[in-house]
Amino acid sequence: MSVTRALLTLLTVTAIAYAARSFLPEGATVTGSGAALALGFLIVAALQVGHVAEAVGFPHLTGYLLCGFLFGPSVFRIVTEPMVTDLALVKGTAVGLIALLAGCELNFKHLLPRLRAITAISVATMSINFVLLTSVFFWVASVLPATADFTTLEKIAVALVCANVVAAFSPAVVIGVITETRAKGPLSELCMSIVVVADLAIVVTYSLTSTFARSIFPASTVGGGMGILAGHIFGSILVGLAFGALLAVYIRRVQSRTGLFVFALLFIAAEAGRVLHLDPLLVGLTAGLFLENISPVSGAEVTKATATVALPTFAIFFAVVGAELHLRAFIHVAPFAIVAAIVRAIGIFIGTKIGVAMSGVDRAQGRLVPLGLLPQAGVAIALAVLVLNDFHPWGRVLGTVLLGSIVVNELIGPVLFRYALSKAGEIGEGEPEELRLDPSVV
Amino acid sequence: MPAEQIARVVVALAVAVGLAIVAAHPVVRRFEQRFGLSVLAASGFPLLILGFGFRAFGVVTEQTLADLRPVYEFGLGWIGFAVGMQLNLRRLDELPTSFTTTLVLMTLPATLFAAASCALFLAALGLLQGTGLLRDMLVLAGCAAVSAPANLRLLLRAAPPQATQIVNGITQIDQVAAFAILALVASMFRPQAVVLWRLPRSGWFIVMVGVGFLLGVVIYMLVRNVRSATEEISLVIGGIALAAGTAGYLALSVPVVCALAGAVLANVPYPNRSRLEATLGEFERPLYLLFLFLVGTTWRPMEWQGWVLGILFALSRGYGKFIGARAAVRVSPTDLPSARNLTLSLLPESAVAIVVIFSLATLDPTPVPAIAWGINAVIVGSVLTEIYVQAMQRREARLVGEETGRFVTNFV
Repeated sequence: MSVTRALLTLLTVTAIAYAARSFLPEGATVTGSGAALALGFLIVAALQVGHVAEAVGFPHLTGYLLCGFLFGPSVFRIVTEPMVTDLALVKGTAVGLIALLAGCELNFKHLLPRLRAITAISVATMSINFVLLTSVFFWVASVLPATADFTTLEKIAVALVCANVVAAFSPAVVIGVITETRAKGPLSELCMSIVVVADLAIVVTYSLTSTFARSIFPASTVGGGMGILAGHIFGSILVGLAFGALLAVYIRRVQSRTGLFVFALLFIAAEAGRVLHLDPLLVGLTAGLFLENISPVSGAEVTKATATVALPTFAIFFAVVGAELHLRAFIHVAPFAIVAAIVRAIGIFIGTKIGVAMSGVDRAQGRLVPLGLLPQAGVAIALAVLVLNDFHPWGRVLGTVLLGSIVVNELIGPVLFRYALSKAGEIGEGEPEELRLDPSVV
Repeated sequence: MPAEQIARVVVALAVAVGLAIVAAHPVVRRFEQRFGLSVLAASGFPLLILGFGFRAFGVVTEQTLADLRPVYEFGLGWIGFAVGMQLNLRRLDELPTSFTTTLVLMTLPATLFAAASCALFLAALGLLQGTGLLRDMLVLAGCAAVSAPANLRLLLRAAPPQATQIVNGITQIDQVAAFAILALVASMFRPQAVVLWRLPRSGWFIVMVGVGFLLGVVIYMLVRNVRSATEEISLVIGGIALAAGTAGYLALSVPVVCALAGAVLANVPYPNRSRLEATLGEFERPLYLLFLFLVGTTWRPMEWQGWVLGILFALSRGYGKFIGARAAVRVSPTDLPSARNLTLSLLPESAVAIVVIFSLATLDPTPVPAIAWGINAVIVGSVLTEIYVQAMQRREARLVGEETGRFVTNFV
């Protein structure tokens, strides 16, 4: 689709949505909040902005975020706060879908030959980032009015949760860039393996840190301590395994409308998760890992079957996330977001250097690896949204810092990774069959 | 949440997923096709009971239903769009000349009879006064209009070849009649709310038509020259969601607006039409199942009025079809089978009836007993009709067996 046509379409749908919004006075409702209008408008508009973003060299995802931000409550107000709130269902389901697809990408057998390098670089990078980012967020929590009065333990809890989120990587963007550039070679493979494995660890550690934070902030918890931790993590893993098994049976036995079934299952996970305190990310990831590594069904089958629902789901998810960004709050916390992004980058560079030295990876290649670890997207945003929703009232403020930091990495990460692939001479070297995500999704 | 309730939620969700698998299984679909059962008759009561049970046991809460609102508005839009896509004017031109007369005769008496009998019953109960009665009467008339084809190979085996074409055409176009009634209802009975647009009722009708056509053009703009099937489906999903959302926001009838948008796409040059029709059809069944489940959450099976209304609805609709068929056969004897077989061919109720009654529930968020009874009427009516048609088809099959001297199953 040409940029002109995308812009024209965007203009038309914006005019329609704007005209429709003039039907009701501010805050009034007739049949619901108009979430369905927001849903339709954001899907169409986000896809158009995604095209425009692609034309100027950014991933589609950046376009989706930007679209939500522009048309959301902060700027043009075509999508209002109540509409965004009522789209929670789509958001919860999308988080599960992102995790499921990430799990489907992780094949342990394929990772074995590079296990030493992957483990060394992942552990070193994550450990250093955890230490650096926890310190940064402890400082941020001491400075921000919303958290300045917290006790030291409370600030540590806030810092741990936030550091965990900012430490995340982006398998979706890395795979997307590799697919777009048709790159093939050791750098592509190493970067992809690291981000997938590290994100798996990030999701698990997030469950730990968020549970710790919940026990420190009783207002946002429903139980106490280790009991929740066990229930939260093991419950989510068990449900994820059950969902994985169910999906495998469905794909093998029914072989019809798999995408819709996956969507329905993830909706149930999101709804039940709210009642049973399950982590949709962990549920989705476990289900994906089960399918790819244990069940006779391959992750590729699931990815292919969900391609139909994945693109609009991701478009709406990221657009809603963009709509949730509060411009004023964002400007207010922008310096913190930029500091967090810079510290994360420093942590990645130091961690990779140590990991490369420990594992004996070629030095020239090792120098380029950090550029593949910089992008952030799906999982990080999903975790940041969990912080926004789960920890009131400080989650809203810190969540904005996290999203700001992610946006910075999201904007520069893909560009730098593309540069690294070009420097390594891997661009256009192959038809990456194993890279299965639709480029327009990421 | 208490452990007992958690267990209930888990078990109930497991049952829901299990039923979804069973309902989607090819064996079940083959069974339905083999016995010529419609979605309403095959899955109506199990899903209604499931929805009712989930609501009663607190598995489905107000919050769940509120969460689902964008989804079911989208679902209504999807089905409306699929119905509109069938309105290809070029295909209509190819139908025999007796088609229009047969369509009117097979639709009008059934809708009038069903609406009048149900309205009399509701009025006798004294619960509905003034415009409420008129609105519910119109909606039940819309539900009575739509039909699904029975086993045409069996019932029309001795009929002229154009009979099958006419019957199939009627099952597609009578949906338009139902949607026209819905459009009328949505224009005439506007919700009581503070709004900034002040328009007469006819103005709302024009707005509805205009929005539908405009969004049809937008969807056409979106899907022209797409790069891949995935992109096309995403854009269609987006376009339908936009049409449904706009209609819902303006309190217009969602399926009507989306049907108009679909009709635009059906009548412009579009190379991927058959692929799109297949995709639309692929999602229709799960959406009907979802609607059945959702209407189940507002079902009132303990109230006798719903059951009586169901029987009245089925009898008056069936009688109306028979009267219409007799008149149609008199007018065009060379194109049609016997009045009895024509009635049987068009007696099963289309699942679109569920969309019509569900639309009313979305247009009027306040729970009214008549809507709950109307749901009962549509489902009970559908099952009763199906039982009758099945019995008649078995009899017909036995006759075929006697004629040909070989064993013939009910479903040739």
